[in-house]
Amino acid sequence: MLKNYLKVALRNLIRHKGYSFINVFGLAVSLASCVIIAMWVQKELSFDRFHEHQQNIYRIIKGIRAQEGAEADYFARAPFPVAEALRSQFPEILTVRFFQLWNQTPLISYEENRFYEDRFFFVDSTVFAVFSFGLQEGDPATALTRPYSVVLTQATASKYFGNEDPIGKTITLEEKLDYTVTGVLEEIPANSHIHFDFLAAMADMETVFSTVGTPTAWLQSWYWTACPTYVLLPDNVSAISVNNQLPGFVDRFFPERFRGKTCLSLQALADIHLYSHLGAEIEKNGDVFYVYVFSAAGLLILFIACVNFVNLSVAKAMSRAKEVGLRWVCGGHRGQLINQFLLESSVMSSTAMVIAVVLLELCLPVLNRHLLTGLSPAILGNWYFCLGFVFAVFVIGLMAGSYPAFVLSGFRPGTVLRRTTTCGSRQRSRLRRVLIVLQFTVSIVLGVSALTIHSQLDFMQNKELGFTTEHIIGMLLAGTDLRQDVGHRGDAFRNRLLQHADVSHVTFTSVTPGVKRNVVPFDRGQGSNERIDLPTIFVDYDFLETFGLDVTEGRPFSKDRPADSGSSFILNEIAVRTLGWDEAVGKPLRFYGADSAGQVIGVVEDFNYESLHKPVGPLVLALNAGWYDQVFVRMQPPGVRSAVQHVMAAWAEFVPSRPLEFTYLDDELSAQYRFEESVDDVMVLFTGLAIFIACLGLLGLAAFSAEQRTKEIGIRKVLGSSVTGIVRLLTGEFVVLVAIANVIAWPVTYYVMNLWLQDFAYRIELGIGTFVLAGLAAMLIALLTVSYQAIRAARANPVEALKYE
Amino acid sequence: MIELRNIAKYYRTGSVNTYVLRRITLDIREGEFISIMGPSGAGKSTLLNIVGMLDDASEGEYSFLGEPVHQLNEKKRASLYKEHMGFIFQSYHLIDELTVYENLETPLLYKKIKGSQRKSMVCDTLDRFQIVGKKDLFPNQLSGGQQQLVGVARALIANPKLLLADEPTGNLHSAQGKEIMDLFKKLNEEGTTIIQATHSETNSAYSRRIIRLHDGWLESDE
Repeated sequence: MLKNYLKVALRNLIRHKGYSFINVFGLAVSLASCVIIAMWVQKELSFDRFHEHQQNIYRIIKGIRAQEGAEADYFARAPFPVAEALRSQFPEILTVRFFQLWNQTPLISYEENRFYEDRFFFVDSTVFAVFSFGLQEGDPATALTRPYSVVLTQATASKYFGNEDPIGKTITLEEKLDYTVTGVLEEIPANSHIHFDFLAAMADMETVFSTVGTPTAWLQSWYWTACPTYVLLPDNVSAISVNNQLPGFVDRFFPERFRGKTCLSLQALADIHLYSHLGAEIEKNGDVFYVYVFSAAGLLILFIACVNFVNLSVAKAMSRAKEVGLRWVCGGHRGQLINQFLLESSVMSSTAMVIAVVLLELCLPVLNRHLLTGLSPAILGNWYFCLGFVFAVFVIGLMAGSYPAFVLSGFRPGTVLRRTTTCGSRQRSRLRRVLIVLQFTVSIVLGVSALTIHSQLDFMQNKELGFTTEHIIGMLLAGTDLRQDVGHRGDAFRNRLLQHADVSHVTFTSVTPGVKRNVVPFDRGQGSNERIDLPTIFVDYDFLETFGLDVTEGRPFSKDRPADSGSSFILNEIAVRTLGWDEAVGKPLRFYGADSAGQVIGVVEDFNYESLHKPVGPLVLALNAGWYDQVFVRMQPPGVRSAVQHVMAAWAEFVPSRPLEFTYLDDELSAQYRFEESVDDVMVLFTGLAIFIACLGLLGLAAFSAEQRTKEIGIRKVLGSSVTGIVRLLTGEFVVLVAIANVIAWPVTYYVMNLWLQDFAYRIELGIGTFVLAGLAAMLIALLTVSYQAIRAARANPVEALKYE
Repeated sequence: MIELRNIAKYYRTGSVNTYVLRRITLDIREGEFISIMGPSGAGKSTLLNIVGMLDDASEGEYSFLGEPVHQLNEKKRASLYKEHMGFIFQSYHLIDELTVYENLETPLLYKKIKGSQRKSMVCDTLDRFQIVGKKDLFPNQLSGGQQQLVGVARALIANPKLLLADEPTGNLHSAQGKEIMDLFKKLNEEGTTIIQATHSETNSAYSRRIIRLHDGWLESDE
């Protein structure tokens, strides 16, 4: 019997090639999409779960309040001394601090191999006791206990040492400090919230600090959020009880001026990737929002394919009705018929499954390279997943097959065998219509979302930031004598750069405008004890001109006034308002607790000194050579290329010992939206797929409906209807359905997208335009799909259509 | 064998019932050969379908071999049908997706007859109807007469007690029609009860009892 069913199933698949293709291929594509999404979701959910003690590991986060009792701003790092103090209050816990050299990528060298390394961390030797980062070589218990030892990843080892054994080799940090390699790290899993190439022993940091030119006193700072700090709690200590003791801990250890304004908290390791968006995160984390969005998208795509499945099977039902009747006549009863149809749809869904796996094999490498990095096909080797997948496919087959199965098997044979018209077809086509509407609703929701995400990104990439970003390159000064001696060497370098005709401005700054800012405590001068923390950029005389900023009141910094350095400030307009002034110029302002007086000399227009995720806040520009870490060079077209060559030559002349690494400012700015960009790509991809699958279904239904109405079309043509009239007749129904889908989709999308846009301080307005565009696109695509069939049917010779009957 | 009491069949069109059969009361004994005659739309096929359980009567009682068919559930009815009946249609109605061999095999499959026995039964039947050479062809590769031959073969393969035939020769030319009717006659002589619906006086001449229907009413029974 089974053999007989299978035979019929396969022959049916082959005989109705078009329908089968639409069903099987649509389902295969959607299954493949779902697996890809499942992989991605699985990856996102698996972050940091590979650590053996993950349930007991917490990160110490530090909150800073502007005033006591105010809402705290949390940072993902804690000051240096916190770890030790924690151990003294909670002797049973283990602590690990990571530390990355402050605002510089250190130069690491081994013989001729010299590279700037941005994933170089100092770390406490307890790292291997707390985390499960493995060592391929070396002993985790001792690898980092001795000062000046370092472990590195295999890839990094080959980069420096080639095929030689790395153990015992010496690498040099910033050309001054030698570190001995004591171990080789296993590859850091992609699903870790922290990635590093080097882990160096956190010992003798005074020497390290003085080598790289950071004041050693900062090591004792209870203010500077320097180190991502983790604690491992023993099983018998609950996080809640530690958390409750943290306010007491702050009061006990923190210097008095920080108490009340500082709070510490424990953050579970497993929550970091999806839920943590604090200041000073080590890497940009994911967002649970996208886990939901993509999961929903995956299910919706699957839903669309299932709808095709049901719709086409039901549509085809009448051609199968005769078979149902005949099988009854041959002695089959209803249960057997149901089994047959379920088996048939299972055959289809398992064929789809096989194709889906092939598709996956083909697509995964490409996707991995471009869109969704770190997806591992390993999930396909997971028994549970595979069983689940097969089971899911089976269930989809059953569900999609069950409607036609039960409807068809319920036909009375006498009726279906005698009549050629459809019985009760009106009710079934109502279901079909509802399903089409749902399908297109989903497609439109996805379409509008993709469009919105896309235009938001576009908006961010192109928004006027309020300052010039083009033709500007930036270089890090860390480790060069340009930084240590800005007055002479720095000036000489600047002048050398300006010799080129197309280099128009050169300025030193502490940070990259548009990306970062410092935060510095100020007060209102003599007699004021109020400490005001304000975002600050330390700049140089040419800063305003380099970035095309205008002073709206007062004056810019001037070389002719020595007093400008260190005690004169330029505020942006928001800072003026924040400080509660109408007229800012001349008002007293100074670094918190400074000896000398200071004053505001000018007001600059507001500009986006941070990414567009954040609104513009107050900003202070201060002249202070001691803080310069970068130099920006503005060039003018058309000579940019030769100007860059000139910059490189000048660097080689002034800093012969260090290779030059420079970035274009606009690249660096757009890099801040890389995550959204990949979300955008993925959304566009899956939306495209969803619409494609929906259209496949529509194509099938249109073909069916044209076929079913062949006779009607023939009669109409005989009665003198034109081809256009008939095309209109056949497409009209679908147009109405897509229109209804629009009406449903719009409010849903409006709600969801508004939610998403809340994440951005600068966002597009959700205009009716996007909706209309997506709606019209859906309509157009649907029309094109349907009219292909409609035109074919309308142009057919009516005699052919009427010959039967 | 068959007792019909006040059988009526109507379709609901809008709020009106359109009657196809009205108060049919009829007894049929085993071994009879009956023709149901009447003009188009008289209800011949409907009556045949009801007797064959392909359709339900709207009113009335129907007992087959003592079983009250109108009270049986679908599964019981299906098994009653499969044990005792064979059905032949005017338009042959073979399963398009199956070959001749597989079409013949299907009723046996539903009767759960074992593989080897099934095979020999199919082969015997192919032999008997001289269609061995056609066994691997699909219905659309056969002529109408050949298809009807397969249809008859399929109806007879499980040795039914009752053979129902709805205009079995309607789409055939006369020589083919005669062949089929001769076969019916032989079957009836061997003990199979046959009810056929037909237009043709020639065909009805083969039967021993003729029931005439008109507009759903039983007009005569001779």
